[in-house]
Order: sequence, then C-alpha cells, then structure tokens
Amino acid sequence: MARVYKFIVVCMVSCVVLIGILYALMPLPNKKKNGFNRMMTKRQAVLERVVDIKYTGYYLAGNTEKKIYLGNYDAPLHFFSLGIIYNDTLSQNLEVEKNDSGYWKYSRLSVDSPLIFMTEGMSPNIYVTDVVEKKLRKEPWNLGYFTNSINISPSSFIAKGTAGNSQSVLFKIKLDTPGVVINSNILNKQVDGIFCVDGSFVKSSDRGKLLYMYFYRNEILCLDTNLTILNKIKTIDTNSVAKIQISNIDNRGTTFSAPATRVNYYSASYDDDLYVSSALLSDNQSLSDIKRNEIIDIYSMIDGAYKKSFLLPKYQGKRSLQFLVTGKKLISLNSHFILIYNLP
Amino acid sequence: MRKVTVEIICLLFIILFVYTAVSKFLDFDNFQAVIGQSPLITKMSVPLSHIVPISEIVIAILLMIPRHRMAGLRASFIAMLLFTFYIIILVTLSEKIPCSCGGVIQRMTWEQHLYFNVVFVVLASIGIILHARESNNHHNKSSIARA
Repeated sequence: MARVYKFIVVCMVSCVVLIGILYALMPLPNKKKNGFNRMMTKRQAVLERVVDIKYTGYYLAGNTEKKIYLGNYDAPLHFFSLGIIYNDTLSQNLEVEKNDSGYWKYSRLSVDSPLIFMTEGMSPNIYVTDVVEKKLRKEPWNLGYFTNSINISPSSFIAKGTAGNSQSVLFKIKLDTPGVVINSNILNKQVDGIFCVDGSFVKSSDRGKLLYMYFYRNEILCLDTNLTILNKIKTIDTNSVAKIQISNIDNRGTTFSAPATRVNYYSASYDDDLYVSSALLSDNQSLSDIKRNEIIDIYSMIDGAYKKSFLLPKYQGKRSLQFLVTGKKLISLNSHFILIYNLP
Repeated sequence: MRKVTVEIICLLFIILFVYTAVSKFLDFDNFQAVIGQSPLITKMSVPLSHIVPISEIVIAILLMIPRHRMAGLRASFIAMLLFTFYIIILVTLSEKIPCSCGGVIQRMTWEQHLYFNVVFVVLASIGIILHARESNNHHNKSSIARA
C-alpha cells in the first residue's frame, strides 16, 4: 500500500513539474521585445465612478454627450440607456411585429439618437425605430448577408460580409434607394482573407468618415462613406503582417491552428483623436504595465500621427470589453460594470 | 464491495476514454486545430493530436483486461492529472480557447471541466487504492491456502 501512495505522490509532483516546464517555455506575445517605444503620459487615467448594471452580455450601441446606449447579446430586443452625469438608467424592450422571424441571436442594436437600428445579417434584416416609439419597423432591404455593420447615416450602413471567393469584403447598404455598393479592394488579404482581415468598425465624429481597425496588424483604415480609403493610420508597433495560422476543417470552414498575435483590441474616436487599446507591450515598459492596466495609444485622425499613450487601470483584473471617449472622460464596459475614467 | 467499486470506476473510465477518443477521431481536423490554439502545447500539437486519442484507446483496453487493470488505472490517473493541471493553467491564463475533449464535454465551461476532471482524478486514486488492497487480500488468501 505504501507503494501505491508513493506512486500517487510521485505522479502529482511529476505532472506539476512537466506542466510547469511547458508553462515556462510557452510562447507569449509580450515575452520578447516588440521593437518599438511608447511616449507614456506621467499620469494614468483615474477611475471616477463605477455603475453596476447587474447583468453581463451587454455591448455598446451608441452614445450622445449625455447618455450611453447598450444592447444585449442574450436579449436582442433589450435596450438600456445610462445618463453619464447622473447615472440615471432606463431599461426597456423594443417590439417587433408578431409574425416576424429572424436570427434574433445575431441581431445588433446601434443608436444614432433619436433613431435606433437593429441589424441582423443572417436573414438579412434591418429594422428602424426611435427612442420614443420602440416598435421596430422592418426596412424593405435584404440584398446581402453580413457579419458586422455600422450605420453612417439614417439610411445607410457599412457592413462586412463574405464575397463569392470566400474572402471578407466591405459594402455599403443603402435603404432609401435599396441597393448595395461593394468595394472588394479595401481589406488587404495577407493569409486567408477572413481571419487576417478581421477587425471592427469605429465611428468617427466626422459623419463623412468611418474607420476600420484590424485586430492582427498595425493598421487602421480611414474611409469615407463611399468606401474610398482616405488614409491608413499605422499603429506604432511593428506587426504589419498578421501572425496567424489557419487550418481547414473538412468542408466546414477554417479556424485558427495556433495562438494568434493580437495587435489591437479595441478603439474609439473623439473629435480628431483615435484611442486604440493595444495588445502589445513596448520595449520601454514593464510587464506589470500590461498585467494591471490596458495601454491606450492616441493617434491623430487628420494625419495618422502617433501622439502619446496612457495607462487605463483594469477593474477587478479584467480589461474593457469596449469603450468610448466623450469630452475628458473614457467610459468603459467591463463585465457587468460601466466604468467612467477621467483622462490624464 | 471493493471489487464492485473498482469495476464501476473502470467502467466509467472506459466509457469516458472511448467516448472522447472516438469524438476526437471523428472530428480530427478540428481537434488538431484546437489544441494548436493552446499556447501551452501549440508546438507539439501535431504529434499530440495522434498520441492523445490513441493513448485513451489503449488505456480503455488495459482497463478491460483484468490482468492489466492496475496498469490501466494508473495510466488513467496520470492522464486525468495531466488534463487537470493543463486546465488549471488555461483558467489562470484566462485563455479563450475551446475545449478539445470532444462530445458533450466540449460544451462545459473551463471551470465546470476542472471540477469534472478533479472528480475523475479522485475516482482513479480510489480505484488504484482499492484495487491494490483487493490484490493484497487475494495474495494473502492464496498464501494462506498454500500454507
């Protein structure tokens, strides 16, 4: 029996040692130098207020100077607003026609006050209402499937979908004269044309512009509303090529087959500044910077020049899911909290 | 009672390992890609994608054969221990990587998966201890009978 207990103990110790060795040898993006430096502000962003919205699954759907609007992935018709100054909240459910059907799980709200849009790219469907009426009205448009979309005016959107050659493309959706304008030359394929061009839309205060931030390379496209590239903002890191590996899964599609090196997490714009939450540590920073904080780089939207960076303290050890900037405040969505920071 | 308990534990492990091994073989490309996504084992993802399901089948076979049951229980214990420590590291890193176990186990969260694995580590230890005691008793009875 002593042999049995000895076996159990030896196995446990050996497994801990083996896993420990694998952990020590594990490749992580910020273990090695990334080959660039940052200009850090002396002060970091300071957390002013925390608002507990009690449930997870929310996403930022839009904002004005005084309010932010949230949708919820788990309750697609749920609409939540929070007053920035007085923390007043309003929670309501939007309504659809009784016989209306769609892929509700994939629908997303976006608010361009006073209008509320709900887009769902699987059917596809686009709905409109306003903050007073709440009853969603389906628009007579279903000309192209899409995964992401962003409204650029009361009657037009920019969306991302998949072209016939199985690569991602951006296209413009027009509701007033129902149509689609595709520009297949914007997203520059580097690996597979799907994951390597993955990214998110960023709204600009200038209505004539919007931005597309790549997740896996150091580039943010500045576009006009006709999908013409106005300029390309290069982030200060050196990852110009997406460091990803992709595998085919039978006939079901593709997926990552190695850890992807994420470059940009999220970004938001305010006035002429672009705030980018970076995933990469610069050579003049310590590892504790990225463990305890998010790193926000600021760029000029006029000429794409890098301005400076600051640290945004994580809350309960977690980074923001999304954030927006308004005035001198950065408002972050973190788990089931809205965090209001004062910018340095 | 001891013997029945060991039999039940062995049966549970046989079901677990055969189920997960077959699930991995049936969705092999996806399994290989998913273990490649883990920063801990990405460099060994190609050999591991073959070693893991084959080992699970071998362990299940060992558990089915009474002579090799102890070897099967020890191998089950080592396997579950390795899987458990691997999950602990993934949870610590907060990596958003899908589980590569296959089948319904894949739908668990990493925390649920950790509890599931710990239960099976404990079962394997109990199986080893009870089987060892049963073997000792059998050996002692045989010695007395010969005497």
